[in-house]
Amino acid sequence: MLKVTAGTSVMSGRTFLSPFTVFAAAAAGDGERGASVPLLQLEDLSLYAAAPRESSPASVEPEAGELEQSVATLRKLVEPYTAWCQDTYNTIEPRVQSVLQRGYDTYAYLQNPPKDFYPRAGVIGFTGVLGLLLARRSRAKRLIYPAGLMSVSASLYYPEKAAAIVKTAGDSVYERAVHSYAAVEKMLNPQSKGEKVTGSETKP
Amino acid sequence: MFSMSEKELGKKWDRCLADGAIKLGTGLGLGIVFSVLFFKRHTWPISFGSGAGLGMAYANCQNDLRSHYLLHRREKEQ
Repeated sequence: MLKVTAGTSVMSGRTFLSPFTVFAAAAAGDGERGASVPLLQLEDLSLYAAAPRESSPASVEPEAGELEQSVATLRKLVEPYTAWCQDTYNTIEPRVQSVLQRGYDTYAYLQNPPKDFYPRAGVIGFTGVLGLLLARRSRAKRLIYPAGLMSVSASLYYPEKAAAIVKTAGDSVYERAVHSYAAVEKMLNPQSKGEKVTGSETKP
Repeated sequence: MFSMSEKELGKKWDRCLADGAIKLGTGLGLGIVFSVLFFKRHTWPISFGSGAGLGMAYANCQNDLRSHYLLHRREKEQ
């Protein structure tokens, strides 16, 4: 290993501009510090090229054994399934994160609720209980009446949010209806679609 | 820092899985031996041995996968 010692004229702010002499001492063994060591000039040192690395056995990777090769072939066989799992995870993970974030936001909202929040929540809950009482002897009514009355009472207190929810729900329902209609039509009439395609191709 | 190439990552995974299989098998074997010889055929030495083997394999794998992104002292000194 080379040891570089700088001359006294080096330690200034303008080391790159003013000429200076750097003396590099070659590697010396133990007990040889006092002996004369050959000095190298600045031009003999390579500042921009990395020193040649000593080839150490640790840097050389061992060859793959039989077990590793069999693991490699097994991994390549299973690769399509692992890719599918990764894609599924990448699609599900943001949704889970958004659900968790909504939970945290709800918790933060409930920590500092607005002034009229709890009375309104009480009224909305009361309408739900009223719906349960009205819907006796019918399971379907027990689901519909409380949900309907609670949504009506909530829309009275929060009309803007109710209108926005109804609009977005309506749009998504319409879109799904269109997609499902197209899918059903495709399933029921696959032949007529094939004929239409061939007919359009034969026309000049 | 450049990311690992897929080939390199694949080789690392192969090494990890092979190492994990060996360590798990060895831990399981030693656990069975100790369970039969010293511990009156209880289950816990088997669980302990296989768990220790799996943990060592996990630590090795973690170190191997992270080593690509670490700057070693030798390179830093250069």
